[in-house]
Amino acid sequence: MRNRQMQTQAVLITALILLLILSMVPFVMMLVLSLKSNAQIFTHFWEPPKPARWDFYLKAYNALGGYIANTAYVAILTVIGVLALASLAGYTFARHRFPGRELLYYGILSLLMIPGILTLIPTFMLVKEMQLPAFVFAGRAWGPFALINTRWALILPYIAGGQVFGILLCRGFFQSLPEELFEAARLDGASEWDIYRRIALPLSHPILATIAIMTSLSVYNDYIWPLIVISDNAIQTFSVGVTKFAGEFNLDYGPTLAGYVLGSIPLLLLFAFGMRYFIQGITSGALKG
Amino acid sequence: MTLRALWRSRYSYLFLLPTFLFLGLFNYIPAFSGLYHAFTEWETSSTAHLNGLENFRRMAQDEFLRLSLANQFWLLLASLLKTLIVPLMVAEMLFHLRSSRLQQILRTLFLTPMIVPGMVGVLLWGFIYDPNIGLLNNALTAVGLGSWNRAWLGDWHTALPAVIGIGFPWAGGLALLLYLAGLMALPVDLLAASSVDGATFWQRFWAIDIPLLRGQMKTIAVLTIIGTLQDFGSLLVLTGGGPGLATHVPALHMYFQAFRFGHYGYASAIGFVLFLVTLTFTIANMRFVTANEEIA
Repeated sequence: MRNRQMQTQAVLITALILLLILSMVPFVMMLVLSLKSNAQIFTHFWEPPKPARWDFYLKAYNALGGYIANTAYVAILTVIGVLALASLAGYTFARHRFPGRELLYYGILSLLMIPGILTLIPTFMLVKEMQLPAFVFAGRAWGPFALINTRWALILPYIAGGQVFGILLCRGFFQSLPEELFEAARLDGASEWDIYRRIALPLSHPILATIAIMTSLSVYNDYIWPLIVISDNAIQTFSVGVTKFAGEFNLDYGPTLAGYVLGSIPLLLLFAFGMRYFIQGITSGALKG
Repeated sequence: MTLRALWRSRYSYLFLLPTFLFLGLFNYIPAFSGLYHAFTEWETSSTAHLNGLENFRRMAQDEFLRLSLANQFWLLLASLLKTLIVPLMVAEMLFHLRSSRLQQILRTLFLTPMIVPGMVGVLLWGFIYDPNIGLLNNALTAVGLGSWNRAWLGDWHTALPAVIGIGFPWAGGLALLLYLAGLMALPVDLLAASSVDGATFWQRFWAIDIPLLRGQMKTIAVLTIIGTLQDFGSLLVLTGGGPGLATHVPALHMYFQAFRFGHYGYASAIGFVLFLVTLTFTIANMRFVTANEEIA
């Protein structure tokens, strides 16, 4: 009996490790080939890099560093916006009673049914037309500022879309807190804003971390939206930039693959710090809808 | 509902104001605009004007769209099989590991592919299929099957299967996490009872795991359908729908109609139909599962 169980375990472990190795193939290939020159790749495909061309990473950094920084900039501002809006709205839906609460909440839930594909074209047309009118400030004329082809053309729609899932998560979290907590503060005469700011918000750090990670991930991985609203290469994001880069260097494979590795580093850091929160977000039940 | 009640709730509305400003501008208005413009003629050069069902009539006669539907069907079927079956097998295997330490390590390792940005993952697969230096051709040559070498994504016969093969062996990701969480949440006494009764693994799998994981399977199925119908970015980068129309799909058709040819009205109509399909799948799936749960 015991022997049988040991056998089963051995089979399971072997199968899992085999699957794992297969899953890792593209990434191992990326790491190994990123250090090899074309000559090495063509003639000695299966051999380790000799000599390792670390200079490819410098080349890739010069070409892609800017795109990565742009994406980080957009992701950080988006996360700040999403966290502010989602926590405030989630708190209000969970803890306030007011006429129309259910209706408004269903208005938000219904957005989960609207696929991005329906709104892609109209949102693009809207953003194309949208601008801040000219105004005079500090004795100078400013603007008009068009939204299209600026970072705000990414950030503002990302905040709008990203907060929906965030509100769901925050509402669930704030509902799970005991009512006495808020009741006591109310009796002490705290304002609604103070209760949100000083009681609800500090308690919600774990759920906010989850939302921050999910939001950053989706900003980093988005491809179509930056492709159509950003034409200026200086502010383009990584996902679009890397496809152009792959084209530019297409006769030199090593630097291209080095660029893929560099582009993975921000997400590596994100997961290193927040894997736990990410897993919580996926399995929190809000997704099971 | 009096004005006084509304006034008393002024802070609630104030707190929700920024949320609804953003949603109104970037979600509600575009959604209604998308619905409306599906029934208009709207070209780059002109403003939109209503033209009834003309766009839908045009869709019915659009040969490109008709051919793309077949591709979409195969892609949809394949991605459902990929996300429903393999991750479930991996989750079961992880769940049955004795060592919880090993379980945790392996689970994390299965998730590591997620740290590679989506577009990089797609480009890497383009690299694997590359005709000159691709991993696949090199591997085939190494095992003496060099005569099978080809431009996998450029060959009319293999382009669609190659697209389906992306991500092989499709073991990790979101589905694995959901399944594993579901298995962990199974009632312990039920599992204990089944093992006391001497149930074999497969008996337990069909009688307990599958019925109790139905919620997860529903979620994964819906997310996969919605994701597959909308994901045309990777096709745009890898094949552009080609060679010929071998990997063309409706969402890609919509994108080309709008952003290459400037037929915004017609593209909106395609988007509208995709929206209806997505909605139908979502609702049908919800109904189906709820009905089943009521019986059980």
